[in-house]
Amino acid sequence: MSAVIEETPRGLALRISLTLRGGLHARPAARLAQEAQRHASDILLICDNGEADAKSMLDVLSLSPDPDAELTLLASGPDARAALEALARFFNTLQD
Amino acid sequence: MARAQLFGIPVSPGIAIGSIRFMHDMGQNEQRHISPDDALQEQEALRTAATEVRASLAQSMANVPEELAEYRDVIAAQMELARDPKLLNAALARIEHKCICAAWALRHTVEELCELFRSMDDPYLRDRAQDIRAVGLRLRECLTGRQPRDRSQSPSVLTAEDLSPADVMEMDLNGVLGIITVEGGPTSHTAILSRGLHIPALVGVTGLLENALENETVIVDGLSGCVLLGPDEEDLARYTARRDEYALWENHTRRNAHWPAEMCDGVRIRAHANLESADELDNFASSGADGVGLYRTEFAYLKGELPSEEELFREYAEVASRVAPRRVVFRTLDVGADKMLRAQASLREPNPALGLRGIRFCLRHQGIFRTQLRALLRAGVAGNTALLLPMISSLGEVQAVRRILRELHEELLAQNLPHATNISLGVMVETPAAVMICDALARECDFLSIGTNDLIHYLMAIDRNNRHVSYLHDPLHPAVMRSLKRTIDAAHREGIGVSVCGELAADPCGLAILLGMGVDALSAAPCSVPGIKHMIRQLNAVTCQELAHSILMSTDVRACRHMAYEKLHQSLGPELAFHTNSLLHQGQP
Repeated sequence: MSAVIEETPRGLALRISLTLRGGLHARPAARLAQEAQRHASDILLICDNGEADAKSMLDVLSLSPDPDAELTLLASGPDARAALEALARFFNTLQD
Repeated sequence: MARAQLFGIPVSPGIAIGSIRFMHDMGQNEQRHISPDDALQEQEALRTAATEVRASLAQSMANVPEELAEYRDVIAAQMELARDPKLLNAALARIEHKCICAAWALRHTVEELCELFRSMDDPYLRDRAQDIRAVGLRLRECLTGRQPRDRSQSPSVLTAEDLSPADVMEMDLNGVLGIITVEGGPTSHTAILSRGLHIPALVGVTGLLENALENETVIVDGLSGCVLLGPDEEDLARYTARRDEYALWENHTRRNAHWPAEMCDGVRIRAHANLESADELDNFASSGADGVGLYRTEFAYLKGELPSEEELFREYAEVASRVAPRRVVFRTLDVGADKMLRAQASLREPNPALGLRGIRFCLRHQGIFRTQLRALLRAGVAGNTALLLPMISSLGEVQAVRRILRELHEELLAQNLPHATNISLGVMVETPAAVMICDALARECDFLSIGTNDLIHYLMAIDRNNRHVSYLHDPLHPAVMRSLKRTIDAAHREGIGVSVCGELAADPCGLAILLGMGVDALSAAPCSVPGIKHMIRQLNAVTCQELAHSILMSTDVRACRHMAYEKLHQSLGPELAFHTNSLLHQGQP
């Protein structure tokens, strides 16, 4: 699956539908933060409940998106595209 | 008199006498104001501490043995927390704005975050507060500049705000005589670990860190739940004697654990163990239990993702084959009240204990339920198994499960998968409705099992988390006693067996009354089984029957308690004090 990365005024955006049984719990949230920290860009995780810093496990946990939520990842910075591509791959492996 | 006496929740029995050793070195909770020029330096110190803590966590992760693999996830999450921007940036900003030292700023930030997580609706997220606190403790320890303590000194009583899996991995537990912590509950890491190692432990000890002094002598009474700081000669003599008596008694009950539980006049009772996961099978083997009376299946569901049929099948088949030829009673998924799945948490029920829990949840979410039942039926061929349905309040629920079982049987036949046919099906009696229709339930199923903890809550209409009404939690209340009797008699009239699982079965007074009412089997935590069997061997059926009869005839709870104590004291003598005796000593309003 190729990730569809759109340009928005706030930065590059990537839409993901979460199909994680049990939702973004500590383990996936920790792995997401770990993955996001590899990149210099600011990465935001947005869902109906609000926004969270994808690099912060605590922020992602307290956002607690629903298990079947529609998420948007918003990246801005020097390696924004690379970051989103890496996170798209990450979410794909997560949902297997 | 001891210098101070504190109280906590006993989570592992026994008595320990030793000197206090703090697990974490807080450097007297450093509170220092700094000049704005030093802010950069303090911020740098915090960043360095974060790097060091991550390195040491990585180290302890490498030491996690295979059988505790779930600790790895906990430690991995803590490594992520140690560099979490939300935590670090807030602390870094606080250093600069408030002009305070890193340790102080960190403490405030951690407290704030813990508070935030504790106030969340989702119980899973609430529990994450303990991870944040654990990371905060490590960072502060690192900041105070002292080396992490040499954790293998002379025999001592480990004292801490809380213990996390990473702490546990680093400790050399050989020198630890007892454990006392400020935080934690009966299911905390501290509790599980200390029970496994037979180390006396108390959790929830308020005022511990304020009052305890390093290296001071302390007595930990894991039987009655008190801590004596700086005891005098008299205390020491008394508790040394008590400790030795208890050790002797415990050894004796363990050695004889495999003897049958037969009362003085020859009536034989089955003593089963309650288990939560396959990891506990070793404890089960040494407990001398006659089978598994209650296997809680929730554990596999609390890891965030729903388990697959194959995963469940492997777990259940392992348990069934290792316990065989003895029987394992698997209780089907009982989430709600204190344990919740995401699907359930999203309902945001104002009162989950009275909501969609137990069998109600399973019949609503049949996909989850059918997966579990298929795994259970398939595991049935690996040993001797039975199913137990939780939270039953009407006959229709049992009939619905029977129908599903028949359908699954056809399905499995068609797929040519080996599975148990005619698996024995039991009903958990834990609602007042189930008590009122226990005769009808007894005709519909193969055995009854009384869950006393929930039954008492529902009978007395009390919320288990509400401390204001906890005084009403009295197993000797006539409503509870009559419900037990009614259920046991109904089962016997229909020619089926009835067992009791719950704290009441491990309580000497509760045990004697249940025996007197003619219960067929009891089920309790593996560590209590040797004690229960030992006690059964000292009682005789006629005395128990008389006791049960007098208690059923009376409505005066206080008199009942007194009478029970007298009778038990006659039969058991001073050994009575070695059993967890919450019921007899329960404080009255």
